Amino acid sequence: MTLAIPPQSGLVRFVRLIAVALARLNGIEDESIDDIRLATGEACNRAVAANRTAALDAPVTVEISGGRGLVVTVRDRQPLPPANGMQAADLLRQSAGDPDGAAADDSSRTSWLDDLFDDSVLPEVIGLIAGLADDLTVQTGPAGTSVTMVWRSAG
Amino acid sequence: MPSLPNLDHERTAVDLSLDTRTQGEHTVVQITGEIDVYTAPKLREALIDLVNGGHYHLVVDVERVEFLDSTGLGVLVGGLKRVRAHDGTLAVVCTQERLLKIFRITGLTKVFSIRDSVDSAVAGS
Repeated sequence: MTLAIPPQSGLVRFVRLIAVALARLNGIEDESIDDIRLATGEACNRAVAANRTAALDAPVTVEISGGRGLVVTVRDRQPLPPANGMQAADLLRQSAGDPDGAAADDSSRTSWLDDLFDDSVLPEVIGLIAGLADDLTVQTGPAGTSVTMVWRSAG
Repeated sequence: MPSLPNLDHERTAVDLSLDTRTQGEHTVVQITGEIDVYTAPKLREALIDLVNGGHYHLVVDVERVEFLDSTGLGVLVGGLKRVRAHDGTLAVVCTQERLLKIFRITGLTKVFSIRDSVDSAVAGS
């Protein structure tokens, strides 16, 4: 299933609901359902913010496919230099306003907390998604960024 | 103890409701519903109102929260920074594993005092 939503934060909750419904249809275990709901929402929020940052009305696209697990890919259209993996995650942190990529697991470093003070998006959102998905692939490029999350089913 | 501000902001379709009460020197904010990018501004306004009203020792009870994303975490961090500016405290009451997991992944267990009950939060700070 492919969804295309206008870059409006109020629509992200509907994508979350659909992702959870498809996860259940594909036999994903209950303990992963909350992770799928949260990670899909985070990826969509990030993509919506990216399109809005680039002043784009283009939709955020979400591809959800089943099989032996669930694969969710969220794409925005904000042009960025081509990169993948950790390099791409670093680029996304920078574009989200966290230039030093401060680690979230060190409470003595406060720059990312400063970023959060009045902002609405956690700069370390890719790190959060990585902690929720079984597998994560991030790819940036001139046509936008894709975030692909995989959850494997036990069966 | 200053009087509590009116937190009855407009409600959204999938709702976030906030109830406040005083317990000792603390102000307890009980949250029910979903905290996401859509509803988080309501919580942010409420916390700002409380701090502006002189409530510097907050206990945020998320036991009835069904969904919490990074936007909600950001609002809680913002609340913490605001009360700290007045030498205040902000404790979070949470026993839900699915929410605790988010605090752990983001490293916020080192930032917040996370308690298993309101009584514990009030006694612990």
